[in-house]
Amino acid sequence: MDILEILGKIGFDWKMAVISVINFLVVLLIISKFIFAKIGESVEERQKIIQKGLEDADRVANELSMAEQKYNDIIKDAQKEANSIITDAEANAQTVAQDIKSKANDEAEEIKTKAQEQISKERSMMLDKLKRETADLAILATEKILKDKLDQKSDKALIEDYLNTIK
Amino acid sequence: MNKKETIEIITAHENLDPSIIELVKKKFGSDAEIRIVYDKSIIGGISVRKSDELFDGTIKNQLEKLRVNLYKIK
Repeated sequence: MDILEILGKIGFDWKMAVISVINFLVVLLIISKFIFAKIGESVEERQKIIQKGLEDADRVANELSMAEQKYNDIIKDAQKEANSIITDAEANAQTVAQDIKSKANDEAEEIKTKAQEQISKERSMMLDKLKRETADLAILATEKILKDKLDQKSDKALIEDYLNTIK
Repeated sequence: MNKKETIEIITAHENLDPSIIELVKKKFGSDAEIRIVYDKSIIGGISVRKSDELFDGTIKNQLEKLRVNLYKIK
């Protein structure tokens, strides 16, 4: 018993099968011609949109990364500049403080020197005055003693001594 | 006729001893006319002026010199 006979017994009609296959092929041809092509186009379009979306996403991500990098660079530069300004300001403040201190020291030294000079001057003037007053008193006392004690005889001897010194 | 030269003597005591006058004449010129001035403020000693020359041997002058020297002492 061959296969066709077996299939015939179970109601399989190979002619109908052939016609069905042809029908199927015809339908498949039509579908592939008109519907699959449309679906393919649609899928391709969709793929393009998705691809563009992915590219856009990559581009945006890239731009975001660049912006972030730029932001970080700007922050870094700003921080660097701020540090530089702080360092300069500290150095300037230190210089100004040093100048003020130096000037104050100079002024204090000058005041001290002037005060010492003034004290020395006043001391010298006082000593000079004291010396003059002492000398005046000594001369005055000597004058008084001589006026009281110098008699004519002593005066004569004094005059003779003086005249004998003249050549 | 030449005018006689005058010698002025200043002393602190009146009645100047003549020997002093003689000594002055001997030192400054015997022909000169002597003029004596008494001035107690000179205390003692003698001052002799002849023409433009002055010889100051008074105690007052000595004391003034002493005063100046005392002022100069450091």
